Amino acid sequence: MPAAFVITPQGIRRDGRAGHDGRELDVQLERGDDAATAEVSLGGTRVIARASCALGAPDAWRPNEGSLRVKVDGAPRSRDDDDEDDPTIIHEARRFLERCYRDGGALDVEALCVVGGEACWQVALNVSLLIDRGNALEAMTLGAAACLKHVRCRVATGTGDSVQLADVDSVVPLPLPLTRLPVAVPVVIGPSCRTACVDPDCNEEAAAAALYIAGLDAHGELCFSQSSGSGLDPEALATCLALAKTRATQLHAYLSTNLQEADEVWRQQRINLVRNSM
Amino acid sequence: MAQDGAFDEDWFELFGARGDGRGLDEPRRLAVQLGTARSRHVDGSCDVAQGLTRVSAHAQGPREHERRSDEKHDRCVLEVAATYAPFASVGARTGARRQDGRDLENAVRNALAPALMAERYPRALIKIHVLVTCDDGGATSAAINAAGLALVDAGIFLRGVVAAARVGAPVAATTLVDPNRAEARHGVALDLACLPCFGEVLWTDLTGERPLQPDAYDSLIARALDAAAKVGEQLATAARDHVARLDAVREASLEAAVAR
Repeated sequence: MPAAFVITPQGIRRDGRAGHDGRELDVQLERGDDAATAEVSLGGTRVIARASCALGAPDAWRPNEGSLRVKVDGAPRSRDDDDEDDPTIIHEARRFLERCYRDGGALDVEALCVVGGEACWQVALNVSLLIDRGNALEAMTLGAAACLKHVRCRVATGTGDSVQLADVDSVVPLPLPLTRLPVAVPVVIGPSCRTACVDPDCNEEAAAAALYIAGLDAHGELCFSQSSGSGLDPEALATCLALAKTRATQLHAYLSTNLQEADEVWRQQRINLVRNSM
Repeated sequence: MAQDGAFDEDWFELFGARGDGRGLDEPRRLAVQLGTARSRHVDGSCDVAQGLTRVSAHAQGPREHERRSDEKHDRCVLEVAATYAPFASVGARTGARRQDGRDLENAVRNALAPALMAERYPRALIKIHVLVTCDDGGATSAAINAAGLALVDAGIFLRGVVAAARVGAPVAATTLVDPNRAEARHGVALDLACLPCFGEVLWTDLTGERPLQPDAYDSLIARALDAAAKVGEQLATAARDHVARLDAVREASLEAAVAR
């Protein structure tokens, strides 16, 4: 069946949502040693993101900085009703994460340095798109933000060759030095009725006349912005940005409560573990 | 100005000009040449030079697809291949990463696809090759300008002249038109491609090392549209001059043939 953007004159989409409504969102967080995993389920779209940190030697031309390596992959044919593989979403997600966290300074790489020229934290961010039922970019960046914020690195002590990592139960591990958490919010505009909609599903994405992607952090600041498609003018761009801001505020509120709960659960687990071992 | 050529507010207050002597609203000199490629495989070509940035674009098409299964029955397919020459960076390289042309390909394709009258060329393939020989900032907008004019030179129908421009905000309160590489380094830069005759925005891209307040976004868009409109006039003039020159050559050769 060909993709179609269905929206009534009152602004109700095919699945009964209004233009500013999103689908059901669920984020599951888990934490390991110097690593964290986030499983995001947005409507039918499922993403797993994992952030892990390891101590290593810094680059020769940047001796006082740590590093962030971003890897994004997608299962081929993650969309059932699409005949061709779509690697562009993978490339877009990787470029978004690299531009915001590495080039844009959302992750402070200088604070990742432990011993100048010898030891630094190297963060590896792996995002996997399992099933794509629309709005995969938002799910992937949300997963990346969640796991980067949830990671705790063990405290490193010592100088020179003898850098040691303190035990998790004796010294509280530290979070990553993140200055902001950008999340991508795509907004699509339908071909005939020029209503802007957030959280598009597969059909709406394929049939959209224009697409506006805004990367917004918790304070509503714009870290990334891209628009493409026909029929956009400055007023349409402003409308899309306002809609994206509302959606980003909701996403960040959900994320912060989820992160707090997951942190509490992990602390309780560690306390129980220590108690049971005594 | 700062040691590496970045925008310096104190310098601007003192001298009333940027590091290279331009005002805040002044773009670099734009030089456009159409029809530079002599190969019979290339249907249209254009070289654009903006300041030190040099980009050349070749257009091929409309022609048949190599594989019938890639065809679309009612419209043409636009393919873009972009490369940066290895010597293209001006100044020190900021890392060992090789510059990926994929971002530039997506940018040129997203900017030109809405302007192309694709329904006029069903089942056809239009290919654009972009080569950046020198990148001193603004390579993306120069590439979009060059690719658009290469399509015009190839005689492919467009809804209008596609004009692209770049504006930068190195510090929060100042907006520069057409920043070069050094000026755009530590702030925010917005690339924009539009159809100036309709006022329609085709493609925008915001890059930067710091986040932007959403209120500042609207004013950046407005400045970029103004800058792109001026660029569009220059591109249209260049295209018309090129066509006039070709007509003059053709008439002269016709007269010579008739006289014989």
